[in-house]
Amino acid sequence: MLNDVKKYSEIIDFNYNKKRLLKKNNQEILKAKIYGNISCFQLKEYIAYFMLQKNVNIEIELSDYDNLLSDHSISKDCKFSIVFWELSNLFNGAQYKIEMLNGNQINNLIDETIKKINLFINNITKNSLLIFNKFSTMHFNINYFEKTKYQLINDKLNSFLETKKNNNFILMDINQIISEIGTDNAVSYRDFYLSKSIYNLQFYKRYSYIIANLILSKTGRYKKVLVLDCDNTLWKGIAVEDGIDKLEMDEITYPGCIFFEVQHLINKLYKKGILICLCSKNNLEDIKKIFKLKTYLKLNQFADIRINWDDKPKNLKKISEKLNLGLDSFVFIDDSDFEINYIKKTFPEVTTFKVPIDNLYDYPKMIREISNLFYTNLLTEEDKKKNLYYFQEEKREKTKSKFISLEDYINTLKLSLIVEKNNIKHLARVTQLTQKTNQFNSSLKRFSENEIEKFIMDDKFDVYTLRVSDKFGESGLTAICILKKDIKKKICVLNTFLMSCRIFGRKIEFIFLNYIKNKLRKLKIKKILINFKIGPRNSNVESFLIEYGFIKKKNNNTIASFEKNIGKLKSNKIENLDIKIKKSD
Amino acid sequence: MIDKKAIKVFKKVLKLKKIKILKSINQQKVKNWDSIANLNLIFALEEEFKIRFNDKDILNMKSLNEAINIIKKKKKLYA
Repeated sequence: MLNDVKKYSEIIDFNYNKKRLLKKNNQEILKAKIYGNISCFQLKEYIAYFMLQKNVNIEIELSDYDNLLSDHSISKDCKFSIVFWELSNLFNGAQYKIEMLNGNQINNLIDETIKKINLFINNITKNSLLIFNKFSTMHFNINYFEKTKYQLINDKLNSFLETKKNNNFILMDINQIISEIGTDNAVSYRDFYLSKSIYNLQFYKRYSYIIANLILSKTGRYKKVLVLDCDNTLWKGIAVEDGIDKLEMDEITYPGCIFFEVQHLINKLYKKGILICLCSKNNLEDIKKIFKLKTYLKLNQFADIRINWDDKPKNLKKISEKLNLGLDSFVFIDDSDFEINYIKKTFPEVTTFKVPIDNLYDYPKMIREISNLFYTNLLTEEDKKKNLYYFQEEKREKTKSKFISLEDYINTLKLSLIVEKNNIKHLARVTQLTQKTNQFNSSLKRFSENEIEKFIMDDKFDVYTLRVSDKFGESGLTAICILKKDIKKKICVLNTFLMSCRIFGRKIEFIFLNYIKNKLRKLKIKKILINFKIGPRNSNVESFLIEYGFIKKKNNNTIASFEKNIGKLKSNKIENLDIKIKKSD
Repeated sequence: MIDKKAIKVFKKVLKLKKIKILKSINQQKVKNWDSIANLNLIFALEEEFKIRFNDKDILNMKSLNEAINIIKKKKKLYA
């Protein structure tokens, strides 16, 4: 996966130029900070590189080396912090001096370090996501049979870290990286003794790749859809050439066992809520037969199926339209160089992988690595049911085409909406929606759980949530509105109004905003303001605001301000709709 | 060849804009050549030439010219 990464000098050059370019375009800058009791400045370039490659501008600050505790200064808009807290530098010479300590001294050292870490974590996780490396002894431990004191301290500190895990605190297992690339490649003793730096470029490269993907996923840029070819991707062999009987995907014999394992790994992704789709040049009847007779995966697990002889970019486009998800959230796997390159050329935003057809034994590992691209950490109930939601949506679409007007159609759905206000129970889901909603999102602000919690607790703010269901099933919590009231001035600012693309096309946004407007009217609020952030994909919010009756006041390149007087009850198109709205607060 | 490659690395790491770089440039003369840039240079050159500098090399590498000499020596040694 990291074979085509540029050389370090080229990365420095690339970052420098790309940053200037993005700055010119006034692109938003993501802020991050790296803390360390060792020097790890190389991280700065590598993480920036992987982010800038995806056109995300990031500014990374380095804390003063070994100034972990005094440098708590964290600016409010710094959303990500990374910590290198190395055991070998707990104090000068720790890597050998620890062995000379007695039991009491060791306990004191552990207690003291835990206290320090605790203070640090509590401070940083208030506003920012903290990525903390697990302690490791791999740099200095060459002990095969006995446990050293160094290892003992290491284990104790790591068990403490485990207890601190939450959505704003992520533990990174660097042993995994060190063992992947080997200690000799990962660790530089020269730099440890010369400049209190401890890792080689190879380590930083791998580490940064993983962390950059985590940061991208935490800012809503993670992959959501996995599109798979069939022949030589889900099984060995080609259906139309070899015949269905000859296709290999059994558990026992090679290479069938490879594909059997791959199908299991894909099933695991499916269960996590990743949308899986098929895109293959084949006869649909053959594929149906194969899935009925031979595969571990079942056809009804796929959110969309494109089995035809059209070109693949065309099919991918259709999948993207159907799922209402941008192609930048797509991963594409195929065994053909031609198809991979065709997709790469047409849609560079799609991440593509070629099945290692000449060394199939590497294929399961590839799928395991790909699984990291879908990493979200904030897995909510809605995620786990996602494939089901799309299945329901398909049934809805089929019904829709039978009706003449949209209103008629909506009325047959028996929509039921549940609005809740400031319910702390929904903290994780609300946070997640702000992180990942790119289309119908007025502010595109990405909030942390702490920030959402503050809104819920603060009297000046209200967080409204909406759960939707209809006769086809539950769509879950799919719309939120965060607003700030100024009772004195009689105005209200809609900080964020967003809705998941899953419930588009049912006029729900009108009903939701109407409900909120009526609540505000009761508070004698006269005017609603909203600052619409102009993003690449959220123009439908603007159309909605105008249709709803908002008037555009100001407009620059990035923000458009809208306002609306709360007058009499306005007769909206939605009056003809028969929708039950329940309150549950 | 080594000269050319080394100059390229220096240009990129130190963000030098001039087209022609004099081999005599040294740490005092270049504003961007601070201690971190110096370490970046070491890492970048090691990666570029697939060599490993030792402590003496690092202490001696105060100018482009010296860097090129050290690399040439290493390369011969490794060949």
